[in-house]
Amino acid sequence: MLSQLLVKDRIAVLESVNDWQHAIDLVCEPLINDGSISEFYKEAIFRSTEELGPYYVVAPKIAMPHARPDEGAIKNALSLLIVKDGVSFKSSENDPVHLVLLLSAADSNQHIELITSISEFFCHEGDVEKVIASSSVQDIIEIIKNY
Amino acid sequence: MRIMAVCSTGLGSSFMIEMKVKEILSEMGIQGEVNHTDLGSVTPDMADVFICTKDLAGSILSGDVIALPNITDKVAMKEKLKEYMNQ
Repeated sequence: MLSQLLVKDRIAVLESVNDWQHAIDLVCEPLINDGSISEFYKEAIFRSTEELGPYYVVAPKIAMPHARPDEGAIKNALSLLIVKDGVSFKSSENDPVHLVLLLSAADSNQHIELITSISEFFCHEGDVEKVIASSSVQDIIEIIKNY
Repeated sequence: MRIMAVCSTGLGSSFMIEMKVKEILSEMGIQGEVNHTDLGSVTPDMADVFICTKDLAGSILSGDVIALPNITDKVAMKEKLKEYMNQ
């Protein structure tokens, strides 16, 4: 499921970003462009981050930003941004973040399968580290093909 | 024991936590009711203990809260659940 949704043009590898807002902007861009999420979805992520803090930084180095389905998730979709130098999300323990996986869950049935697949990937620390260390999108696609 | 995994939207990390907690309870042979919900739906009577990511823990104002720095760390999650049960 993860590999089906994380296709080439939805993966980006960068050396650095300006700040966490910049990272959210960049990771949302491909999904806004292809109509998977609306601009409002990104704004909802910014708004809830201001209100609640970085609630989606789920593990060391890993952020999984997402908003609610009714806040502009149009299709089930994923977008991945790797930041080599890391970026601070002001997380209490998990900064710097290197892997930003944007989740758009529009369909509640399919999203169960999707979350299960993401969870399996996040729990394989070795593969997460390999993805973070990858320098090319093709290498990342190869690592995640089993998820 | 009723355990409620919470995240801001009720569909991302809370669901991942629910899956892990269910695995842990089954390994420990403990009967428990595990569910997940969004922050806005939390009421004090819906569970005995709430469990969420550390960065969200401060936003849950009702009841006992287990805060997880890393939701992929099942060993640490198990320790925290044991600690809670032995209280």
